[in-house]
Amino acid sequence: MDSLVAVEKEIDKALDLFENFYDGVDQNLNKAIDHLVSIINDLTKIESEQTFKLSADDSISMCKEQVRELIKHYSDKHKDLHANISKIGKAIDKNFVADYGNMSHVNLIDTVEKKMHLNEAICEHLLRSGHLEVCDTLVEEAGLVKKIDEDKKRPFVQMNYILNKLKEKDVSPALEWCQINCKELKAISSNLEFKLHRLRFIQLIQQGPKAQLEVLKYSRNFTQFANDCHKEIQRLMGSLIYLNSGLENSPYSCYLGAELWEEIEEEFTKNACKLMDLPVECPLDVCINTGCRALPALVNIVQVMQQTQCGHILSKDELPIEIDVGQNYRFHSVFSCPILRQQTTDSNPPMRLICGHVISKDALTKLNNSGKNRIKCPYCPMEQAPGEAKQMLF
Amino acid sequence: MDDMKIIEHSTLKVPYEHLNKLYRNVHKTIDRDCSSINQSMNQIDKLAKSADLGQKSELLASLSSLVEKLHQVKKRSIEMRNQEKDLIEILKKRVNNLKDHSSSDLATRKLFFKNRLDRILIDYFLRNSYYLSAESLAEKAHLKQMTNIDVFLIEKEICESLESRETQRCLNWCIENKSKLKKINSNLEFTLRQQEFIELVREQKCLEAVHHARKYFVNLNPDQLVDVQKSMVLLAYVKCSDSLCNQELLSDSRWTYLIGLFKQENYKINQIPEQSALETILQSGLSALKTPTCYQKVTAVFNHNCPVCNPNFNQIAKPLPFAYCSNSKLIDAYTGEAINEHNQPMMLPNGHVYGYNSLVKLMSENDGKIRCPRSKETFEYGEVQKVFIL
Repeated sequence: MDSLVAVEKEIDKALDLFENFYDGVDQNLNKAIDHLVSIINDLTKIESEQTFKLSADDSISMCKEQVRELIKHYSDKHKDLHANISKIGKAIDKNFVADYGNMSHVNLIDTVEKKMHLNEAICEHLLRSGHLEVCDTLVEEAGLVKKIDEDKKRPFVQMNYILNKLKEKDVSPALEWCQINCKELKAISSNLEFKLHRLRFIQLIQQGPKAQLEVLKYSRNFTQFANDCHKEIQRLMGSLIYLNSGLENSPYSCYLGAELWEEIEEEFTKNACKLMDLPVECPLDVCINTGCRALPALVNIVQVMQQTQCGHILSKDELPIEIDVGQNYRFHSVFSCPILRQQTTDSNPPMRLICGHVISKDALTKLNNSGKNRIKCPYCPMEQAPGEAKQMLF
Repeated sequence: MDDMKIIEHSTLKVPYEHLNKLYRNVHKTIDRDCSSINQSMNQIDKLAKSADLGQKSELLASLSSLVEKLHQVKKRSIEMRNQEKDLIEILKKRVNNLKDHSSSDLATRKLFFKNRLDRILIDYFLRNSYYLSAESLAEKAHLKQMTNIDVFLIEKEICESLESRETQRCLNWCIENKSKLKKINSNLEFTLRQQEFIELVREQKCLEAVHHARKYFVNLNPDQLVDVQKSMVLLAYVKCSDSLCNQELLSDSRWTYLIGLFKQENYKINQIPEQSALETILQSGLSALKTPTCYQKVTAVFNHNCPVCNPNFNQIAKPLPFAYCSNSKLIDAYTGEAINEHNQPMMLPNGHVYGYNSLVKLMSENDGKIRCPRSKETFEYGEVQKVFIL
């Protein structure tokens, strides 16, 4: 944030100075023009030879001085402004990292095939965010063979329509969708429909006493959820007490927050994606978010490693530092052998010893080096034969 | 250091370079105007010194023309004032837009990240010549001011002219940016002139070619001299396409090389990084998410949500390094829940491991027996063994 503040400071300074400069130029020019015009008027009136010569000489030399001042000011002061402009550039260079800190090492997209894959991933992102025309244009310009046909697009079109309506606080399209997909939603034990009804109920209550009958009629919608959500339904019905006085000052004010609407949008997206068998979050989004999180740490390392001659971090088998991607973005198990500190792979799987402790196969082989056919667990006194260890699959 | 410092350098530097360029042009105009005023003033001064009544009208005429000149200078200065101010304002707007990155309001931050991804995509489109997609997305997302589309549109024109074998536009561009190209020791102008020479010889206009060479192949450094000698050889052949070394000089790939060189120099002088932001960020992101499980046969658990398992990214991420993991982090293969002290790992007789919560779930779905979701075998709870992960 302070990097922006520093740059903004220089920009504001430059704006001020420019303003002052041009104001001054304007003033000087006006003065010069006025002066010249008055000289012209004076000289035109003069008829006598002598007066003319004197006047001409006098006024012109005065004018000459003025004009000389003017052009000096114009040129020199503008030259001075250059210092301020370059200060802006220096502030930018000082507070921002150029060229991504030399992170770019390999050409990631070096084959036509990889480019096609990337373009397809981008198309999926565009469909999900509702930019359907952009997706079409991209398919054409990039020459993507797999034309995205109407069938594939339709669910996204529908999803975006429902989301837009939810943004406008209109739950009816979402409810319709829930009713159509009622069976599938039940299979994934989703309570999306109930939450949507709840939001509509609160909306009606906010309309005050005149909506009383409508509210009561609407609450019939809760009967289907009586078993699963009865506690919540009890709580909701209690809100009728505040029909007159409004919910803002009641214990129910928490239902008025905007977070509920954001939550419902997320919930709907999650459920829709599950039903369509799609990842919950667009893969491109996940990658970019993780990448932005990882960049600062990685750029630091690259800068440090530039002093040594170790080669670029992206050319190695494993990153040199750990990046915390957050629990949400952990999709696979990673087992790190506590003895050898390596990740287990297909060729070096994790093995469970009889006592229940787990080490990698390589570590097991190393423990068996003495060839005695009896190994002791590194963590407890339990002994066993190496063959008794069982391979695990996470 | 945060990610904004790394990603947004060119967002601010490009309009800054525009401002610099404009400033230089404005200064040239100012100098021109000043010297022209000076000239007129000196003329008037001379007239006034030797003036007599007879030359009154002449003097008055010159005075009037000076007034006229000053009016024009004033008009120009107002124009330049607006131009310079506009460019500084653009810079300021961009800085303001970037402030949303650290906004305290979550919705504003979310919108900023969404816009950032769109901007990154627009930049990627422009670099790959998908101009229509870029413009369409910029319009839909209202991001035109934050992107550097104008730089790329100029690039588009010149690339198109190079593709139709014309060098003039590119040469004009080189002349416009002469000082900057000199700073980076650019070979572009020389390569263009060389290509012109080759084209003249190809059309059998040998005399013209020699004139051309005499005019433009001056002040050469040793490498350039060698290149020139190679191309001069062409003059010796009656029919150009005969020998092998000539093939290379006459081939179309030289034009492709020229286009690539032009793009490279264009990025350099505009302070645009050579690799696109998309690729750089993807590299880091994919690498941080890449685990051996995404690529292995035995232990591969295809997680729907993992981007690296996604068929598109799987290919792209192949050459990248794996993420480094110092402590084991386990995920249940059935539910995706974390396996830790609150959800202890349990191993079935077939070697598959699940969290305790999953076993409870599996038992409730299958009459108290556990049906392994992966191998479909059924086991009793008594057969399950506890596992200790340190």
